[in-house]
Amino acid sequence: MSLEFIVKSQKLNKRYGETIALKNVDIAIKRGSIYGLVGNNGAGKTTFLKIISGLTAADSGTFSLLGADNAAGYRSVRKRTGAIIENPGFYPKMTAKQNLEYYRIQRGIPGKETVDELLYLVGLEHAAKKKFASLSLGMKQRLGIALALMGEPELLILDEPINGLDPMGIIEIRKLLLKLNQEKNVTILISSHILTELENVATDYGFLNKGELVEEVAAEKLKEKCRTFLEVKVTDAAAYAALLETELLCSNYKVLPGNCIHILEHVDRVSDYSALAVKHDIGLLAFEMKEINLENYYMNLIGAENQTSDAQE
Amino acid sequence: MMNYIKSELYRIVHSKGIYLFTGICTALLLAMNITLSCFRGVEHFAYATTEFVFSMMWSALNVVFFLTLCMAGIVFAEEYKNKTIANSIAFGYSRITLYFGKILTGLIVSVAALAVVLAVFIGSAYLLLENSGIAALMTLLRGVGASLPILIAGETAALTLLFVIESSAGASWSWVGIMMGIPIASELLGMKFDFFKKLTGWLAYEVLQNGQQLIMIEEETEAGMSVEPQVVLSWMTQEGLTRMLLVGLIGTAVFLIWGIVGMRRKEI
Repeated sequence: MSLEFIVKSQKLNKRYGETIALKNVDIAIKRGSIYGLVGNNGAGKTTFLKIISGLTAADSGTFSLLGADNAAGYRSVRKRTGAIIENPGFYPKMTAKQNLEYYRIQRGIPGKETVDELLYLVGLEHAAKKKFASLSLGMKQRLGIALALMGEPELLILDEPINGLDPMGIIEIRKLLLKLNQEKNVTILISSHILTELENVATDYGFLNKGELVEEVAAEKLKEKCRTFLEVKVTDAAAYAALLETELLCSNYKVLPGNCIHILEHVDRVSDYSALAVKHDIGLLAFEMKEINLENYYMNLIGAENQTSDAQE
Repeated sequence: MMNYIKSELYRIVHSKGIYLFTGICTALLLAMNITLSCFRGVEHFAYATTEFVFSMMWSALNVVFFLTLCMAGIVFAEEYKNKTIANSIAFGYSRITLYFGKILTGLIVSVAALAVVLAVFIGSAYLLLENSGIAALMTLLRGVGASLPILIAGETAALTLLFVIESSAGASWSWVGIMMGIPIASELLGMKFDFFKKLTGWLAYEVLQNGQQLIMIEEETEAGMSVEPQVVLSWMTQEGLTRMLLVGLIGTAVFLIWGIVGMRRKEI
């Protein structure tokens, strides 16, 4: 059965005492996507992942997971998922290999070689006989990813998976996630504080703030919003815009109020853009190269959101 | 459930805890047999016999009751602290399956450990001490068998508390409180109120600990009639045996219900 959405939540609510962890959260994760869940500490990311993984129950609202929409169904389809929520949990006095073997038996996955293959996949083959307690933070994280990958899941739920990884480890895990997504069509739901890293893999984003989903956007759309652009302030924006099209064949620009123009293509042709204004006697008031990345996009987003909620209070 | 139990058995077999626990218990009993064997043949020393060591064992089954708490700790393996229970739930195991899986694993491992300890104890007793005949051994085996329902209840209670309370220390103290504190309180209240006096006689630890009665057995000897004191434990009578079975079954059922209710929507 082909499902368009692997996960779809509707009005999920969760409270811990007086604290609102999730408020009417509607999230839709398309099959084959890498969904980046972005939010500050306490924004509700882990709570959402915990609900999806069955570690906690929502107070109200519904969600579907791989087509299942009730408790028995969730338990059945969770066999087709892999998850690391918060820190990866393993038995400290057992070795990396024994820990994976324990879960292989528990999941009824045939073939002892599965464990060696997984250790190799995450670059832990040399640490197979090391006790979990003696592994570095990065190694523990890799072992957690190995566990999540066990049984070839259709959906990977990864909560801060690159925490503690060194730069090389981050690159390897990124490559692995992209490979799984592209070659095996594994859907990945990933939360991370390292937004620059999310930018490298995510195809869709959900921005959470104080338990609310502020925005859900595809990476393509976000790229449009986040790209580098030239901000030009002139005395006559309409005339300048016309000249951009006729003389420089530039069509990707936006005219904003206040005679401000955002030029979104060929931003390296700075001298051409300034010369154009001078040539046609259009006053050039400001000329600045600007860039919006995921991080400051999110900061702007929650900043605006927080200002709105502060004003309402 | 079977896969979960298999994985738990794999974990326990690959952990030191069970070997350490079984080893210490075996070593202590072995040490007793070895020590007594040093006095074998000494005149007027009547304790280097299998009858004596076996009676030591069957009259101290309440100590074994406490060991169920240690065994539960080994089986539970600090699932919350290690965050390992989350992996099993995220994979699709229900909380109830995990709970029953742990209890069944605990029982399997405990029975195996008990069998090993008893085998070494009985074997070494026969090798090192004076053989008093089969009757002493049969009494020991009957005692162990009769205590099993209460031992199962003790371990079920310990695992339930570990699941529900999460903190190992908190669960252990709660277990001691329930298993010892309540009987003591009930016994004290029993001095004033008849209800509590009756209740005390149905509490697990009391059934094991205070079922002992000293009775005088009259025996005809060559010198005439003699009176021999004999310790009788509750399981040696039909009524006591039935009571132990009922206490074990009811105790197990009560804690299982508590566990099921407590685990149903537990936050992990």
